[in-house]
Amino acid sequence: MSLSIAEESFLYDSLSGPQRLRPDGRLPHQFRPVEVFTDFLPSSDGSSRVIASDGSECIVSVKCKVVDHTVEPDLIQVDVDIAGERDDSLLVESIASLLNKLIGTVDHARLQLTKKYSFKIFIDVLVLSSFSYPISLISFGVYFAVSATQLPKLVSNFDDLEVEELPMFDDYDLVPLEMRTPLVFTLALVGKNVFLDPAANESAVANNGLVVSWSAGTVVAPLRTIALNNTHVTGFDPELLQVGIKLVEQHAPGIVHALEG
Amino acid sequence: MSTSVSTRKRLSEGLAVTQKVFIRSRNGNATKIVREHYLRNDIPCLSTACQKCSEIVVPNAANELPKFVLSADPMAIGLGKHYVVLDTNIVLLAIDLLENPSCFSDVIIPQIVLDEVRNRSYPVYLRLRALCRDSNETKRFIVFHNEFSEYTYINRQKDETINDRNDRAIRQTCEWYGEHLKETGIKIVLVSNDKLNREAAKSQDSDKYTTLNLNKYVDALPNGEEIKDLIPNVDPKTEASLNEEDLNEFTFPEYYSTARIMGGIRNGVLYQGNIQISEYNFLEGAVSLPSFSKPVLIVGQMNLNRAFNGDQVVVELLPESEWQAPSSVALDSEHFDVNDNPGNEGDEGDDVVASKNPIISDKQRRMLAKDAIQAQKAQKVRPTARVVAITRRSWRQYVGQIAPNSVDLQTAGTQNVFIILMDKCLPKIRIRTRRAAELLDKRVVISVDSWPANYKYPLGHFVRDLGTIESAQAETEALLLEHDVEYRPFSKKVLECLPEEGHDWKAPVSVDDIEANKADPLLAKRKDLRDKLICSIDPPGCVDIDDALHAKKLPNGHWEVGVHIADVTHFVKPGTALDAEGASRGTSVYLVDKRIDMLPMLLGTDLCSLKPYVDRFAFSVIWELDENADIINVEFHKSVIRSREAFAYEQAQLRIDDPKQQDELTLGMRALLQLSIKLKQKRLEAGALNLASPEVKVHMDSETSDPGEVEIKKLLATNSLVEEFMLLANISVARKIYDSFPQTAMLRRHAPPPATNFEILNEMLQRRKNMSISVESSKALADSLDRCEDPKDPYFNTLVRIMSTRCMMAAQYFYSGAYSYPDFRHYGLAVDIYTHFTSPIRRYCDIVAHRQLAGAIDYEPLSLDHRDKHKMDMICRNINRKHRNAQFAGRASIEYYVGQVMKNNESLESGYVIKVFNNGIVVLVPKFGVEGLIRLENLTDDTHSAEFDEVEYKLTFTSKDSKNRREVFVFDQVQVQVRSVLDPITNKRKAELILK
Amino acid sequence: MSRLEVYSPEGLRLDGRRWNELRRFQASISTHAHSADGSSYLEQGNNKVVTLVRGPGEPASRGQLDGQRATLRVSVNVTKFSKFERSRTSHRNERRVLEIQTSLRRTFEKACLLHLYPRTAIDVELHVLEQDGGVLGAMINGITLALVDAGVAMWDYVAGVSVGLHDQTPLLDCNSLEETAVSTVTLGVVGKTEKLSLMVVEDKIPLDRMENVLAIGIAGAHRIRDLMDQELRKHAKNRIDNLAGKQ
Repeated sequence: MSLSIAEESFLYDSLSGPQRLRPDGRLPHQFRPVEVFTDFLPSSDGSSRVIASDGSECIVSVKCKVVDHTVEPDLIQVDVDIAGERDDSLLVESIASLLNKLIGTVDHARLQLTKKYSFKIFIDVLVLSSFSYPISLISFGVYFAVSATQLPKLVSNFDDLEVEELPMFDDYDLVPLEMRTPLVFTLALVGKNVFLDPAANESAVANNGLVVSWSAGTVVAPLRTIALNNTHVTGFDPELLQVGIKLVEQHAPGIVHALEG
Repeated sequence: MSTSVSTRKRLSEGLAVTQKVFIRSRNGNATKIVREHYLRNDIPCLSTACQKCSEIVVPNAANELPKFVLSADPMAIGLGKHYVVLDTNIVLLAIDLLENPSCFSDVIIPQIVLDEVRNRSYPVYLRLRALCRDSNETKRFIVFHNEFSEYTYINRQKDETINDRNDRAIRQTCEWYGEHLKETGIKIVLVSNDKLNREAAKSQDSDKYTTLNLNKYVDALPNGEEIKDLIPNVDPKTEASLNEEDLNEFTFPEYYSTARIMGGIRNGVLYQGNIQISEYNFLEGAVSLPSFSKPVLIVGQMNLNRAFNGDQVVVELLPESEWQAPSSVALDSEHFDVNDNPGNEGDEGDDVVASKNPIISDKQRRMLAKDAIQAQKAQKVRPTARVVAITRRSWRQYVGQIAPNSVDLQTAGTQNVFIILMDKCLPKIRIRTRRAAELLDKRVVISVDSWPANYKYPLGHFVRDLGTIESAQAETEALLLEHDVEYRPFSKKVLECLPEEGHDWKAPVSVDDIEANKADPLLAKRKDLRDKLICSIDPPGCVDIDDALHAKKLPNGHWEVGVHIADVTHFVKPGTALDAEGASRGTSVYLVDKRIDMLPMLLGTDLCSLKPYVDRFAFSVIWELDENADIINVEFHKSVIRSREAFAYEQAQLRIDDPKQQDELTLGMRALLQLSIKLKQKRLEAGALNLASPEVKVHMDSETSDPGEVEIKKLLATNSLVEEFMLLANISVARKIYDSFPQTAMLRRHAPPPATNFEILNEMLQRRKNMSISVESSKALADSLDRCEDPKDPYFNTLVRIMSTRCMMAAQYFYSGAYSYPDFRHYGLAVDIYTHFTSPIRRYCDIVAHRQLAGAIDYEPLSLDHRDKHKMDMICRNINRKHRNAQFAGRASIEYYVGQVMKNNESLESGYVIKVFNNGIVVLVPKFGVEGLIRLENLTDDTHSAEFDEVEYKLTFTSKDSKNRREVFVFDQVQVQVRSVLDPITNKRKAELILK
Repeated sequence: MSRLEVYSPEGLRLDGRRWNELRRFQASISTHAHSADGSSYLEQGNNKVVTLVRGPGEPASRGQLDGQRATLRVSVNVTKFSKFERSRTSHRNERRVLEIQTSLRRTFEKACLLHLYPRTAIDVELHVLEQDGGVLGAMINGITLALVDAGVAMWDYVAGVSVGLHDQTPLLDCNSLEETAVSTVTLGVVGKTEKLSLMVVEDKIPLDRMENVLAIGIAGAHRIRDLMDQELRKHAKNRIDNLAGKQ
């Protein structure tokens, strides 16, 4: 997004000022409207399509495969594809590594099938378009795709160590995965103020960005700073970190509730 | 929770779409599959009584409208006029009955039933499809696509199994038909043996249709009494007639679950293979497995666990303590447990005790497999295993006869009897029949239906009787059936493909003739070879002349040699019914008294046959050969020829040998003979094998067509003349078609025998004769066979050749994409590439080779059928099987007639011991080409004092007559009394040998 | 080994269609109005294709600059999850995908009036979200719709469809299950003409059957053209109504 110096200056002043005026009139903790569709790809085990009001769009597919967990202990894998970005670009790699780290913390127990075999789930993220840092959008997509995921139902025996068996599945019935993945929020720091879900023009003048992960009611690791632009980035007051975390802890449950409803 | 129920989405008037979602569970993985499924309102009921459906039908791609098949006036039973709707279990169980012209005339097959049948048994599916295709005045079968009709398609419900859903779909179909045909007064009867399905049908408001099981339905038919015997025999316990007596203690081990089998196979603790039951002991089988150098043994009834010879089974190794050498006992089913009562299952006998398997884990089992493979290499002991699942049954219709002692002649009604099958590797079959007494001396055809774990013998049902035992007609039909030879006359559809002119068909006078070219645009591409001095040389009395030859001296001193093969593919075009019939028959079958043709007589013995003095179309291979018979050049042409003479082998030999004959034809024949000798020499130098089989020929009395005498086949130089050029033609053609169609050329290969096949023979030779056979290469084998001479016994070499032949692999047809070039090799002929081209009248391989060659020389484009690997694979599989069956059928026919000859002449003959068991010896009698087991009890009166030395292949016993100790070794020449006896239990005639 | 009744004696295909019937065809345009100049979302059977067109606009690099006409670029993203079995690797640099990109680019270079936009670039980005046979045809239709949405001048519609041949019978618009059993041809047909702007033959089709195959393919493509036309007109009408409503 290219803004003139005058525009940037105006935006910066209104955001960093005591009134914390956002250009679209939102309160600092307010999210832009997001549309979520699930089960959008019937041939995947779970899927979602999330569209932000600025037209940013992200499609997530969840597919499973049966693996021998004694050989392959990593049971969740996230792949990120952002249209217009190379697979090895900094943006793609940093987002993928952040997501994998986050999801590595999720409890795998529900993926175990037998003493030997487990489901491994592949979460494929396709960002069709994005106008601001897409991690938050992606985490929403992943959250809804995973929570909508239903996996094949095991019909063979659980104990397959003494007597070798290959897992067999019901040809029709599915079991909901019932797994929740962490959500990620982006915060823009402008002056002494903190804003949730910065729009593109807000990002353009932010002094810094914070990425805060939230899971099951609390803020969880990792916590990161990101440069939202190339011109205004400065250091920030650690107190703002606390402000940001609080902002997330306070408002995340409401946001999830609103989206799930 | 289950997959989201998909909704129908209307696309246009009469077309809607929904999604079919299911989980495909394969190799331990689960994949979600989503497919579109279209529903329509233009699927007709196909009843001629219906007024509505003719309005809605639409034509197919060939612009044909569907035929309304079901009669407007179907058969009436108690309920009135009716159509039958069949459940899957009825089709699978009673396909024979469905094909019977005296019942099941107007039948509706719901599509879901067709699908289920196809998944469960492809052959039954094909028969069902044939019934629908060939609907006529007596049988009218239709398929109703219930899954595609928007009125009958149903979604699967929550927690509903696929079977329940499909049963419901069948009921929905019945309901729709009942409603649809209400005004016509035609009733719908659902025939199903599934109790739950019937009950579900009753609980619905089922005034729209009636449900009956197969027995009840047959009862309701006016001719029900006649048909009853043909009803397949399911486990009676599932049906109402439960009888306390039937509950018994006898049980086979249950089969493993699919999950267990798949896991076990993948992890190397279970193995899958085809089981081969020993021809000497029906309670011993062997399974060849890729990871083992020798077959793994399966010993005893419990370990065989209901496997039939040829079934695809899954086996599990037994602990080391139970490994053993292959049994040296001979045992057949007809003499085993002869006193078992078919009425109720007995559980006597110590042999039925399951091996006491200590429970071991799969980890230990994997160790066991390693030990087993080691043990096979090291020593004689062979690992044993047991059958834990049967993945594919080889069940078909079998020929046999009633075991007389199983019949209660006092009972007038239905009773259980045993059928002893002709194939002695198979157990006896229990059937229910009312006609036991009547069938006592008949050859009967039966079908195997099931083998529940709590039955000692499999259950089957009567299909039909072939006639009295030992009548030529019954025996011939029996052996054709046993070897799966199609012998019914050619159908009308097939005969319609023949040229209209029939026997009056004539080759055009000139290939340039304008009128003839209009009729056959390819004619201009034919080469006119009518000026060549061509002749044919065949066995005496041959009417289907496939091949003819000519030779002509060229100005440069070389020879022009032509092999001319009947141009069958001019008449047999791909995609026709005639072609399909030929492809399915695969080969002609030659029996002693009968020939079963692959193609109709008109072609085989007239239009294609290269008869003398008339113009015939041919496919010619023309070489330029130098004086060493090396190929300078080769050309292939479709041609027109005129054979100058048809010789019998002996005639040709006489003419060549007669110095007075100096005409050009004879000179050509002499040149051919000289060249053929050089060809043979070269072939033998390259390592071609000269193997032997104990072939004999039965002379039939031409007046009474009774068998006269038996003669060992003789070979003349002229036999070899023809053979050499045929080999050369086959090789040249093979190279050409492989060059043009590298992926799909029709070829024939002969794999080298694994050294292990020769182990026993070699050991016997070493021990007894201090000789050995080398199998390193075909050359080494040929040379070592030549060295196996016993100066005292000229026949000994032939004997070794006969026994070696049995150790060889069978040659097989294949398409070139299936193997890599080095594996194309024909071991026996010692050539790198080979095919069959020279007998298209009697072999289908040759027809494919002809078409491919025609494509290769740009005569006409090759049909897609022979350019598609998948289709070629199907063709090869079929002709390999048919070829094998034809050979077996031919041998069985000879065996039968030899038996008939021997019946009249008991004689003393010389024979050779070829196997020694601890309870008998096997003797081969070359004169009759028969071999037989002489049991220990027939060798001696004192069986306990007999000693078996398995190292020396020696059996020592007290001779019956002289009371002296006698030793018999393998390879010994012995005098035997040969006679043919009728087994009192089985009514089977076989050669009985008595050692003198 | 295929033991399926690809075309039953009763004249029905595996999914219940007759030989000459298209699959469900559902298209919408301007689906991504925020992020592209022209866009479409197409479901042809169970194929799901998103097409984004950016341009005509300033080229990203000078290398793409052509003084005579606009430069057309097509990039195809076949997602890893588009088939039943997830593929391990990205399809981005697969030879097959590169070939598809080239043939699509060539097809639309001919179909668009590129000389009207000299010194500009038109980027076409395709995302295949699900595939179920005949995806190349679906891509052609997706591009046509998105280009029209972007306002790029074209000579005529290009409609894509595949035709299979089972023994003697041509089968229109094959799904993936049918594709495993028959050889298929994909056609790109210009408008209501019989002009082919693209023809890709997978596997072998005998020449003597080709005429039948082409005839049904062209008829099918004409029907698709009509369906696309309907959708575009409906969309245009909505726009006009909206404009009228606002005034």
